[in-house]
Amino acid sequence: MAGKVHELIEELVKLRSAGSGSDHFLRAHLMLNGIDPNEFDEASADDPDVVAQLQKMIDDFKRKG
Amino acid sequence: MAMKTAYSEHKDEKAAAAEIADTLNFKVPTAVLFFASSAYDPQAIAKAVGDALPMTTTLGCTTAGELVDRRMLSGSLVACGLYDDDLEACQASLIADPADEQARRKAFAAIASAADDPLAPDPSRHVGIVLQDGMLGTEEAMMNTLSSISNVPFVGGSAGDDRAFEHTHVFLNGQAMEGGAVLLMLRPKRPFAILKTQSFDVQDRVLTATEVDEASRTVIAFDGKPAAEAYADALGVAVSDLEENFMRHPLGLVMADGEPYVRSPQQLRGSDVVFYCQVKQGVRMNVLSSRDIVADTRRDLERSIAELGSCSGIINFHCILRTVELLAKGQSEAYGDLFSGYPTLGFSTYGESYIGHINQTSTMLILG
Repeated sequence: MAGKVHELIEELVKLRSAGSGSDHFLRAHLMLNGIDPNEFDEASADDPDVVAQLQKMIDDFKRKG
Repeated sequence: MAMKTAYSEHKDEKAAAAEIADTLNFKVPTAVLFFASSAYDPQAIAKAVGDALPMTTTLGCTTAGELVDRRMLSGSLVACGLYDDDLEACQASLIADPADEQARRKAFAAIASAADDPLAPDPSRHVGIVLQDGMLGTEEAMMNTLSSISNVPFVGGSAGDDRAFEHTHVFLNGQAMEGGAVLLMLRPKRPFAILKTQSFDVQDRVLTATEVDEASRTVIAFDGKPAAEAYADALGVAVSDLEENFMRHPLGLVMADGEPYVRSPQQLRGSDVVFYCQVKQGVRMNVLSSRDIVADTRRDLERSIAELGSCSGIINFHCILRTVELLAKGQSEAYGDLFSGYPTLGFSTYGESYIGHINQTSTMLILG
């Protein structure tokens, strides 16, 4: 499988932008968690740990407090 | 109305609290933020400030040096008052166990009750302040929670203890707590800005953390080589000279726009490098080279205030390593002068909070 990480990053960007989040905020948040958004595109191999980490970020933001 | 600042150099806790209350209590403040030297008894200073301002939310922490207006102090109590003219709403919460994710979420939910929409506070209208124990090592977890569940920006710092590195405290409403954290949600009436400024050039040399122990903030290997050896090679120095280069050459996670998030090394432990913050496995970090703190802060502060259009107060979370460098270079007065004309409160931290746990910055909340 490839491209899942890129897909989840795009989903997170879309989700947080809808809540008026800044692009810089999210990208820095990802970088500080060891995920460089610029390193992933549609052809990037899926790292299961990164996929799980991104899925948790999406779930956390949807769940809020 | 501008944020009001006050300070006291009284050594007695009650006298110091009474002096700042005399200045701030010309009308009842909605909230008072205070930073206290670790020379004070933490329980006594928290109670004294709380007793002196009984109608006010009082919060703060211990420091490694205090900042008020143009002054860089030590051994003092500094404070600022925020009033109903400035704030539409504010809410604070104390976290006894910041390592507990549920406790962090519960505290966020509590302060979000001050928001227009508690489930989705508008990040353009709300800003958070976070004060954390400086010795616990839970800052990354705290910032990860805050940045994961909300778009509201939080700024803050890790409490200090005048470089003893033993015990730090946070304060809320008369209570002092070691090993805790305090959150504050503000909805200012006027616009605000956050400034994160650091003084480093980004070098081309890159180190990739290939083996880490995140929990102890330790890098064991860079690029498959013992961390100390690889770091020294990147700087072109001997391993024996590496530690003396740490302050001038930390590492940085560099954003696409070139802005670094500084990761500061603390010490060597054998061939490992221990940092003041977590370094994640696999991250690529550029070597940084220090520049002039005063010149860079002046430029960034002027730009931020110009963009905001006005400045009624600044809360400055200022890394202890920057304080040490300013003192060593005799630039403390020049740094203080940058805040001339602006009510300013701050302290020398054991790490700053903005999106994550960061190092060697001045991270400021600028109120318009």
